[in-house]
This record gives sequence, C-alpha cells and structure tokens, in this order.
Amino acid sequence: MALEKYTGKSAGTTLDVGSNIMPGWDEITIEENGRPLPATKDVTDAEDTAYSLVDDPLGGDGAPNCVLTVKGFISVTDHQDTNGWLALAKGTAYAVVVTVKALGDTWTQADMVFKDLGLGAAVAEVMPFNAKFTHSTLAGAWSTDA
Amino acid sequence: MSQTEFTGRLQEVIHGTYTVESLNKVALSETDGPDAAQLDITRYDHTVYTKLTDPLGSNGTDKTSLTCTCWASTASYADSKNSKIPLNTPASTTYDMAKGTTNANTLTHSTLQLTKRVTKIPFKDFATHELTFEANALGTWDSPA
Repeated sequence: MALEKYTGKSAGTTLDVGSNIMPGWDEITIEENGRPLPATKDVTDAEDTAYSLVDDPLGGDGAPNCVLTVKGFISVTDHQDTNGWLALAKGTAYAVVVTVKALGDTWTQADMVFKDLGLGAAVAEVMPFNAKFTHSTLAGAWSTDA
Repeated sequence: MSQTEFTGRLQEVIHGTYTVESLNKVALSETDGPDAAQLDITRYDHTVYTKLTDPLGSNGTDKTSLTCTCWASTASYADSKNSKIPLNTPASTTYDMAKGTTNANTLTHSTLQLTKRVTKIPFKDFATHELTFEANALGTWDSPA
C-alpha cells in the first residue's frame, strides 16, 4: 500500500470513557499483552545424560491483559465538568473506546478499571496527568475490517 | 567481497498470512541458553574449592524475540494488518533483510507468536505500533548461496 502516515492531530482521534468523550489528552498508549510463553519444565531423570526440558504442557501460566495510558493536561475548570477526568472514580470499570480516526481503527475494551490519574501538581505552569486504565484478563479488541 | 551495508530500507517481516506494514525498525534478539553451571563438589579434605562443569550441560533453552516498530497508517482500518495480528498464535515467520535482493539474509522461525502490541497515539506526531514476537527456540538463517 501507499503509506499514509497517521497523526493524532489531523486524524480526529477520540477517547471515550463510559459515555464521555475525554478532553485534554496529548498521547494515548494502548499496551496489549498476550499470555506469557510456556515455562520450560525440567524433566531430567537419573538416566539422562543431558537436561531434558519440555514446554509446560498446560501452556503459559497467565492471562492476556491490557493497559491504557493517557497523558495530557487538565483544565483548571475540570471540577465543574461532570464529564472530565476528575469525575472518574478510581477502581471503577468503564467501557473505553479509542477511535484512531473517524474511518480508522477502533480499539474497544468494555471493562477497563480506572486505576490512577497520576496528577502532577505544577506550581507555575500547566498541570499534567498520566491516567492509567487496566484489564487483568483480556487484551481488548480492534475493529474488524470494512 | 566488497561490503554491502545494510540500510533496512527493503526489509520485510511476514508472520503467517500477515505482512507487517510500514516497518520503521526491527530489533532481533537470538539468545543462547545459559552456560552450564559450575557445580561445587568441594569435599571436607580439600584446601581449595573444587568446581565441576554440570555434566548434564546447560539447564535452559534458546530464545528468540523479534520486535517491529511500525508506523500506523491512516488507512489501516481498511488495510487490516498490524492491529489485526492475533496474540498468542504461533505462526511461521520470516524476516528478510532486503526483500527482492539476491542472496539477502533471511531468518525463518516456525513458531514465533505475537506476545505484545503497544500502540502509541500522540497528539501531533506519528502513531506507531510496536509488535513483539517471541518463542522458546531459535530460528534459522538461510544458507549461503
């Protein structure tokens, strides 16, 4: 294909948390982690002349998971905004949708737990945040093709 | 021979039925298993330590990790590629250092699986996918022509 490089600025990316379109974001990072590789089990016995190793027949001991990190800047009037970052409850699961472009990829995870707002209290300049959402057993899903 | 420098301009990664698109950087790690341990067989009547290389050899396996950093395309929804590669699905994978070039080095691995995909969407720069493929075994480089 001819490559059209994507920029967040021109592509109209949106971040929906619950029913709200979140403001003030600067960078969104979607980390999808698969199940870990199977551990290698040592099944060497007394008659073996070299180590005998097998991949864990039960597969990888763990689950896929995902972490969504959103960096941005908070507004001084967010406390008046029922849809803003300060209105999110820690430990609560929200449906999260990242629409990369109006006609582009959409990443969805129905139960992302809001873990941390990561607010950096600046004295003289802007106030940045570094919000984190997690899901411990699922990796989320990208939209299917048109 | 005269040296032909590698530029990465023509490199290609194919994972199963997916051709990784818009490659910017590829990092390949092929790691041998651990060295054989040194067993301590010192006895009470020794005046210095006595060590023996583990007669069973190395207790561990080789590992391969292939990390691809790719630009995300504005049209990737229609293109159906980097965001659609499934996690934890082993597939035959090839890494070609220079697609279309005679005798270009090619690594083949039969069981690499995608274990991690990190998508960064910055406000004003280029979005990227970082795909990490891993396996508990080494791949094979093509034989010299």
